[in-house]
This record gives sequence, structure tokens and C-alpha cells, in this order.
Amino acid sequence: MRKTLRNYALIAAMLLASVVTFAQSKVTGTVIDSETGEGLPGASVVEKGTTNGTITDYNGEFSLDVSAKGTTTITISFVGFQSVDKTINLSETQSLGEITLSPGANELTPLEVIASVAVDRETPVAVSTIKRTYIEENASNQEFPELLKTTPGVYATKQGGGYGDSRINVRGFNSVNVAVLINGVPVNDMENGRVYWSNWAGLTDVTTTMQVQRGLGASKVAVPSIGGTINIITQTTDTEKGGSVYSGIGNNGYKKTAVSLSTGLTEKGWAVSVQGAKIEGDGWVDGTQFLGYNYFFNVSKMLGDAHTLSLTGFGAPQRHGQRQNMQSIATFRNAPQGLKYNSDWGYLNGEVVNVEDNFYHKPQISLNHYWTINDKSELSTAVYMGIGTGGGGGYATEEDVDGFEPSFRDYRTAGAYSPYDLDAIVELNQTSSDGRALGYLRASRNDHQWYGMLSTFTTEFSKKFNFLGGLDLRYYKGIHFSEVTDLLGAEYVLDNNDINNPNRAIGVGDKRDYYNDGIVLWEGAFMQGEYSDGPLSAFVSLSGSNTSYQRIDYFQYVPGEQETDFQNFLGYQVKGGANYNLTRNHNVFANIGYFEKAPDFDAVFQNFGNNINEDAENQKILSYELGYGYRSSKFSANVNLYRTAWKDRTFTRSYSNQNGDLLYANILGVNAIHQGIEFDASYQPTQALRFAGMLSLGDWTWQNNVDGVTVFDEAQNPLTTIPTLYISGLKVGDAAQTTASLSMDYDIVEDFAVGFVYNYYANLYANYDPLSRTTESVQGVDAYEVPSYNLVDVKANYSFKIGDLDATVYGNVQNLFDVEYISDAQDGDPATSLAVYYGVGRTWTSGIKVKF
Amino acid sequence: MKFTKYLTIVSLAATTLFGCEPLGDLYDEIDADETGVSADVQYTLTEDDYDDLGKSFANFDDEDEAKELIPELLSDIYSHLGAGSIATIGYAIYDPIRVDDDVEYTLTDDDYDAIGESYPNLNSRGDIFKAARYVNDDPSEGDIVTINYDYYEGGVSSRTSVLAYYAGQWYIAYVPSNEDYYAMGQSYTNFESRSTARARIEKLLNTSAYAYGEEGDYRTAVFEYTYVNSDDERQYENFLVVYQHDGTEWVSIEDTQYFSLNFGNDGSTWVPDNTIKYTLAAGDYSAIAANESLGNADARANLASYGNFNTNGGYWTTELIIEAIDFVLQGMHPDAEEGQKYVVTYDSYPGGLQEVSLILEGGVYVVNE
Repeated sequence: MRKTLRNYALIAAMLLASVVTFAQSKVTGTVIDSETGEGLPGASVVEKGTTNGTITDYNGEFSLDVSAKGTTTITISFVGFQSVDKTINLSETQSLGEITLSPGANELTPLEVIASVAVDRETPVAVSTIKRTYIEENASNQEFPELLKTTPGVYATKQGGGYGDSRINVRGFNSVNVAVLINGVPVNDMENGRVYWSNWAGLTDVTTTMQVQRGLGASKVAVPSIGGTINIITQTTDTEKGGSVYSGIGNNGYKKTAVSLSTGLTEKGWAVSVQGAKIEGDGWVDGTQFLGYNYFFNVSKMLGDAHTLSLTGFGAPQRHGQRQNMQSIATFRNAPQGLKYNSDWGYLNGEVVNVEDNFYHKPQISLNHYWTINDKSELSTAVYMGIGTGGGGGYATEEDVDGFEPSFRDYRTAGAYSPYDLDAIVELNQTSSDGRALGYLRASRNDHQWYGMLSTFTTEFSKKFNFLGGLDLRYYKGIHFSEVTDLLGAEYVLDNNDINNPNRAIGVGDKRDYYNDGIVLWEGAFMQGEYSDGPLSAFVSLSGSNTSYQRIDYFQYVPGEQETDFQNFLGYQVKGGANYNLTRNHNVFANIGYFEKAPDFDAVFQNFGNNINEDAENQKILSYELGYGYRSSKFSANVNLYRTAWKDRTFTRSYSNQNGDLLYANILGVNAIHQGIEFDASYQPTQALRFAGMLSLGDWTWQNNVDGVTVFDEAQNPLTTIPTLYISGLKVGDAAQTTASLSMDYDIVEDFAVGFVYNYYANLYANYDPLSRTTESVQGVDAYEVPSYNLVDVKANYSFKIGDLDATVYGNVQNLFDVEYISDAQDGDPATSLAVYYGVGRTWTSGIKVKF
Repeated sequence: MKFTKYLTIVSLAATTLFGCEPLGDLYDEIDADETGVSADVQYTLTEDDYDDLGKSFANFDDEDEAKELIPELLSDIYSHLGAGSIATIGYAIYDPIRVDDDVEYTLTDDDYDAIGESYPNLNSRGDIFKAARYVNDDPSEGDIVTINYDYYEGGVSSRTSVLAYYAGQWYIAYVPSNEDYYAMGQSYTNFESRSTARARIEKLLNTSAYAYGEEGDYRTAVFEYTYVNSDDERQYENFLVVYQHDGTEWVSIEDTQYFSLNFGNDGSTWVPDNTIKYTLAAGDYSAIAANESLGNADARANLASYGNFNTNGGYWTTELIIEAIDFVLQGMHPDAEEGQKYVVTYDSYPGGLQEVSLILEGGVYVVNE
């Protein structure tokens, strides 16, 4: 029977929190697991009707301070078990004695349902979960991708090292093929599928749980979860009343201040929480100064017993300097700045200018409505919108009348390895024949508006069978243009790229070079059936979507010809799986899925023009997975075997001919297999000591040569044919195929804990362009294999009291041994042409958080 | 508890052990391969250099000795230069032309017979050479024969010819007449100074009917050299001088000659190097575009339009470009020797100018690793 635990929704995150309130009585007891007869640690013990609760300790014991007198009811619950209510008369006794919990049906919060959060020992999917405390203790100056590095199959790097420039690959698939959901709402870019983590830099502060579902995952909506799904759940109405203030410092001028406030659940059924933070610093890499804010608010209102309305908004506006360009190993070794060398910034009037920078603000607001229709059915709906503004800065040069066009690279303050000398460009602009800018700064803007609705209807057909169905509708408009940001002393920029406005003299803020919109309409529907009977649970899900793309180009076409027709692509996904709990300790699961994915926007519209690629095809993915899990009170482990076959992957590459004509090649029919085995375990021998480890062995390869790739010109005339691309058997690059990690947390004394995280990466092959593999002599020759490397992070935290307030001091050091390693590489000869990013050296943060 | 303590210690130890240098091996490899600075240099050996090489005089005995010893010097002076460098070295070879065998002979009737004459006389220039070969049938460089013979041209007269053997051939030497000696400013019909003799005879040859020649031709002269020996006795002997035509005039071959040789650095040592550096010209690209056995139709069409190798997919691959260059080099240098090296610069798109190092192996130019 389905219970509606309203309160469960409110206390979901409290599983790891312990609250001290002004107390009169202390209720104690021991929670016992009915199957093992042993104490059940981590069970939730809550004073019913309030947010006052605690969790059981290592032995299953608890002690809860209650302010009530007389009779009160205590609710004891734990994921996977049936909850129990115990009424106690405080005037008689304060001990509940032993409370036994029996395994029972699981319940997710409505938010978790909409977000397709996986449930342990029930959802047949390989899952890793990162909880709030882990984030608080380990986040330091890391971003979402790096927080997941102890998850099997994950390879995350900081790339150039700028704030928010991290990237993550799961099982060898880059972010285009990893679905990221924030509170159930997909955030992969609607045009190119990428995830720009800089849009969310700093949101680690408001994250309650982060769950990585590897492989096709449990997500019901049609999202590109080929490598996996990253589910980020932010705080909702679950925080208790109070707040906190955090202040931290770190390497290279890092400074962070954060405040959070929450009303808790008021009598009238309102709950409001807000959070804000400011983060700034100079960056470990030269020229990567950054300033970011993040904010979060949530207002929830319970409307009677059956409805909850929740308005959530968050955003992370930031601007940061970037290291855009990789360099050769020789450059880093020869540069006086060593690994910190960054070629992409300069000086103007004695001030640092981050020539390559990134700035973005994408506030996302969603209104969630949870409706408990009756005992058996629920409807969760989220209506959301995201408005993004921002882009990336850079420089531009123009030809003077006499044909002279400067190159920024020639203007550095002191030879190679020194910053750009923008004052020299200003001087140069003074010599221009007619006041036009010869060199200036510009930004490529990628604004967007995104509106969507996601609705999930859940109903219980019988005790054993649930049905979910829903709709996923999205409207997206991407606005792309380049604008002048700094004339560098010139009078104007002469731009001749708008055929509707040729030879325009433009200034700061005006559009130049290109201006086009991408419209994406998405209609999706899904349904899922879940069966659960004792130890067996299974699901089958089906989803379909129609993606419609339209491109509107304002510069290259005259009005009346600027809009293309809508190009429609149908995609669908069918998957199923089953989990069987052999015993209280062992479970096995299997899942299988098939997914047809619509081509990306850029594969449909070639070469930055309204040129429609008639041959754009859906990509097809077939994936299956087997898993085994072991759970006991001290030790748990998982083993997963997976195999994902990716067929008809399409690469679209373009390059230009000698006279500047654009040519493009559609590489169709590329197949890849990503398979491997993943192992993770956690061991807690005592209350104070916890170990966790993982090992991931991947075998990801391209399967076949591609024959007969035709090269076309802009008018779609075939020009030549590349006989063969020799990529068969090559290892997939840009992600370490073997990873391992070991971490330890040790509570030395009650309030002082230390820990370390160790990571090992190997079998990392450089990224390479398939179009470069045109001769038979390179058949089977893998791209350069980057040397394997080990990293160690350490942490410590100490809790104490300042008067009545709880305070914690945190200290974190990443890359403790300052190891020099290559994290990203673009294929070439390491002695000459290999282009790399080195990983960042030792970094640290230290902060204090006070709760009130 | 003990186990967990162990586990903790092992974990901590493992983490400290593993904080090593993952890139150490890679850096060692790169440094070992380091090609160093590459430069083309010119240098002429000084007296000190010959001294350092263990030579008593500022010269080499022959080209082989130069090829053997100069690399040592280069490793010293240009130790900072690496692979790809070419050093053009000027050096001296002391290989004086001296008279070896000096024979005077008068032909007898039997000799005329042996030479193959029908009559007891010589009647053509060729006969004179035959006679020389007969008199000295196993000559070595510097041999002189003075032959007295009867010459038939309308009538029979007695003549004398002096021939010298040089560079594998007999040459009829110019012998100054008495008038010539006086004209050359000598009081007697001899020279006391060999250098004076060489210079003046050179002048004489260049201003006389003998001035004509083709570049590379040799001309010999034999004059009377006189000197006083260690016993204070005056000596008189034939002295041989050889002249080579440089296209304009005759130039004497001195005792000490100056040459230059190219040496290339292969990354570790200097070796004599005959590498030719060449840049493909417009005509070469046209010829390649017209040759249907090279590349493919689209590639050739692109080359014909743009005059450079488009390396994007479907056009020119590196292998096809090497084949095309081979075609050009074979045409340019058809009698190149096995092992001939070229460094060819060609224009490509989008990479721009590229350089490739080739060597002739088995009759085909291949990339020189």
C-alpha cells in the first residue's frame, strides 16, 4: 500500500544531519534490523509533525531531544524498510527500547520521482551517490565534475584551469552523451548537447545529493544518457529552521563567503530558504582571475494535505579568465611560468585584461507542483525557464586598406611567454589609415531562452505494479552573435559580414561577424511500468521525442530568406531491467536498452549557414549491463559489467579550401564499443573509520574503418572522396580507461576528522581527429598514450561551539604532492606537436562555517 | 582493530609512495631525442685546428683524411648544434704534384713495330699517345716520358714530345722553349722558383693560343727546375705543373689546394653529407599535376588550380606527396647515386611550407628517418 509520507519529503536530507534544539526531554532507543537482528545505523528518528529529528548511530542507538511534554509520536524510518510510528508518554518513560524495522516498499519524494533518483537494491542501474556532507567536506575549490572523481567510469579534468572550465566524461563518453539533470530538469545544451559547468559554478553549495547513474540509467525522459546520467538535487523544503555563514580562503587569493537562511516549515505550511555566496580569486593558472556569485531560493507552500507548491530559483553569474589554448610540452618546460603559463591574457594601461574569458549568467526558475491525487496516484509537474546571457571573450583583427593585418601573437610585452601588449595594439590602431580598428576585443555571445514543462504521473495499479507516464515539452531559442567589447583606442570597427548592412562602422556592443538564432522545439512523452514483488523488482520504459530544428540567420541572408524550414527528427528509447535481492545482503541486476538519438543542431545545419544536411541521421545506441551488490552493516560492494554499442555515430567536420571555400565531410557509420567492468566498495570497520574504493577497467574502442567519405562544398556539390579513414581498433581518447580510487575518513576524536582521497588514472589516450587518419600506414596506431598518474587530496575538519552556535573549521588540500601531470592532450608527437593541458598543482582552501 | 590499523597505515604509505613523477620517463625520452639547435654554418679550418687534429702542417693529405678528421673538430666547435645542421667546411689538402718517373726514350724500329706502325715512324697525334703508353705501360700520377721519335708528315722529321700522366690520362705537356723562358722574364732556360714558374706559365698559357679550353680540362706543363741541394750542388730536373680550366682561364693546381666539404649532423655525430636542399618550383607543381600516375584526379585538379598540395582528406596524403617529389627529383637528377640525400621544401595547404628529408634508396626517394 502506498503511503504518502508528507513529512518524509521534508526530512529527506536530514538523514545525515543532526539537530540540537532547546530540549526538555531526551527520548532514547535502539533501532533493530529485523532480518539481521543487529542495530540499524543511519535510520531516521523524527518527532512526528515537526522537523526535529536525528539518526541512529553505528549501533542503531539514538537519543532525541524533544520539547514536547506528555504524549508525542516518534517516527522511525529507513530507506528500504517500512516506517514505524511509536507513541511515547514522556511523563512515564523516555526510552522506546528496541524498535524493529522490517523491509518494505520504498518511497521517494516527489522531487526524487521527477528526477528519477535510483533506489538502492531496487533500481537495476549502476549507481553512485554523493551526499551533502561529502560535498561540504570535500568540495573546497572543486566543481561538480571533480567531486565525482571517486565514481567508477568518471574522468574529470579542469582543462585549461579556469573557474568553471571543468569537464567530465563517463565511461569514455563526453558531456554531449552524458545527461545532466538539475532537479529533474535537463540542462544539456539543446543545440550541441554539451554541458557548460561554468553556468553552475558554485552550485555545489546548494546541492543535497548528486547521483551518477552509469549507462542508460533510470531516467524516464529522453535524455542522452549514453555514458550516464548525473542527477543533481538541490535543497528544497527539507532544511530545518536556521542558517549558516561560511567564510573561506585558499590558494592564489581564493576567497569565498556564503550565507544561507531557512525558515523551516512554518505553522502555516510555508518554507523558505535562501542562499547566496561570493567566490573570487586569481586562479592557480596565470591570467585566470575570476569573480562569481551564486544564489538559490526556494519557497514552498503546502496547500492542504494533497498539494505542495514549490518555487525554486538558482543561478551562478560569473566572469573568469580562461586558458583557452593548449601548448606543447616543450613550451611548458621552457616557459618561465612553467605549468602556470597562459598565452591568453594581456596588459592594458597596467591592468590585467583576460583576453580569453568567459562570462555567463543563467538563472533557472522552476515551479514545482506535487499533487497527491489519492492513495494510489500522484502527479508531479515542473514548469521551468532558464534565461542565459553571456559568452566568451577573445580578440579580432581586421585588414587595413593597404592589406596589412596584425597578428595579436606578435604583440607581447617581452617576447615569447609574456602577456599580450594591448597598449601596443592601441598604438597600432592610431596608425590605421581611416580610424578603423586593426586589432580589438570581441565576445562570442550565446544567449538563450529555454522554457519547458516536465510532468510525471505515477499510479499504483496493484500492490506489485506501478505505472508512470509523462510529458516533456521544451522550447529553446539560442541567440548567437559576436559583439565588439573594446575598440582598443580605435574609432570604430569596420564590419562587412552583414549583407543587409554592408561596410558598417560599428562600436562597442554592436554585432559583428555573425548573428543567427537556433530554434529547437522538443516534444517528448514517456511511460514506464514498474513491477515489484518481494525480492524482485523490474521495470520497462519507453519514451519518444520529436526534435524540430530551425535556423534563422540575420547576416548571411536577406529578409524573407533568413529562416529555414523546421527539420524534424524522431528519437526514441526503450529500456528495461530487473533487480533481484537474493538475500538481505546480495542482489543482482541486469538492464538493457536501445536508444535512437536525433542528430545535433550543428550536424543538421552545416558550416554556420542555412545549409541543411539531408543525410543527418539518428545515432543508435544499444547497451546492456549486469550488476551485483553486497550490503551489510560494515561492508558494501558493487560489481558492474557493461557493454554499450554505439552505431552510426556521425562526425561532421569542416575545413576550408585554399581560397577560403568551406568544405565539409559527413563521416557516417562510425561504430564504437564502450565496455568494461566497474567495482566499488565501502568498508566501515568502526564508527570512526570509513574506507571507500573503486576500480574501473574500460575497453573503449572504435570499431571500423570508414570508407568513402565524401567531401562537399557549400552548395552540396561533391568534390572528392576520402577513400578510407583508418580508425578501426583505435582506443577512444580523451578519457582514462583505467581509473582507481581509495579514500579514507577517520574521526580521530569525536569532533575532529581527517581523510584522504587517492586517485589513479591510466590508459589515457590523446584526443584525435578521425579525418587525419587517411593513410593505411596509421591503421591501428593509437593516438599518444599519456603517462599514468596518481593524485592525493587530504582533508580535515573540526567541530566546536562558539557560545551556543555550532561551528566547523574545514581544511582541504588537493594534489598534496604537487604532482606534475598531463590531464588533457591533443594527438601529436610528445617531443614536438602534442598539445596538452597540464593538471593544476597543489591547491588548498580553509574555511569556517557557523550554524545558527 | 589491528586489521584496520594495518589498513590505515598501508593506505597512508601507499599514498606517499605514489606521489611520484609520472612524467619523469617522458622527459628523459624527449631530452635524449633532443635535436638541439639546427643551423647551417660555414667555417674554414685554421692552423690551430689542424694542430688540434694532430696534423704537423695546416693541411690534409687527401679528401678521405679530411672526411675522417673534420667530424672530430665539428663535434668540438659545434657541440651545441643538433640534427639537421649542415656545416660547410673549408680545408686544405697538401697533395703536391711531383714528378714520379721521369724517363727519356728514343723509339727504335722494333718499337715502331710494337706500337703497330707500318713504318718506322709516328704519323699522328694519337700515335704519340700510343708511344707514351708503350714506353710507360703502367703509369702513375706524375710520370713523365720524354719521347724522341721520327714523325712523318709529308716527310720524316725528328721530334721530341714530353708527356705527363695526370688524373688517369696522358697529356702532351707544354714545354717552354728558350724564347718562352726569356719571354717569361728568365735569364736562363729554367726556373729557380716553382711558384714563379707556375704563375708565369699560367699567364703565358692564358694569353696564348693555348688559352682555350672547357671547364674541367687539364693542361700539363713541364719546365726545368733548378735548385741547390743540401750538399751545395746545383740540381736540374723536370718539374710538372698542371693547370685546370675554370671555364674562363687556366688556373694552376697548387701544392696546397683548398676545398670545401659539407658535413651534416645526424643527431649525434657529423658525417660527410652531400645533401642538396631544394624548393619545389611552379614548374614542378605543373609537371606533377599533369602526371596522371601521381595522386588522384581530384588531387591533381586541386594542385593545378592552386599550386600547392592540399592535405585535407581526399586530396594529397603524405605518401602521395613523396611520390610526386620523387618524380621531380628523378627528372632533375637522373644519375644521382644511391644514398643521395635531398631536403625538399614544398608548399602545402593548410600547413604551409613543409620540409621533408629524402634519401635515394633502391632507386626511389624515400623519407630519410
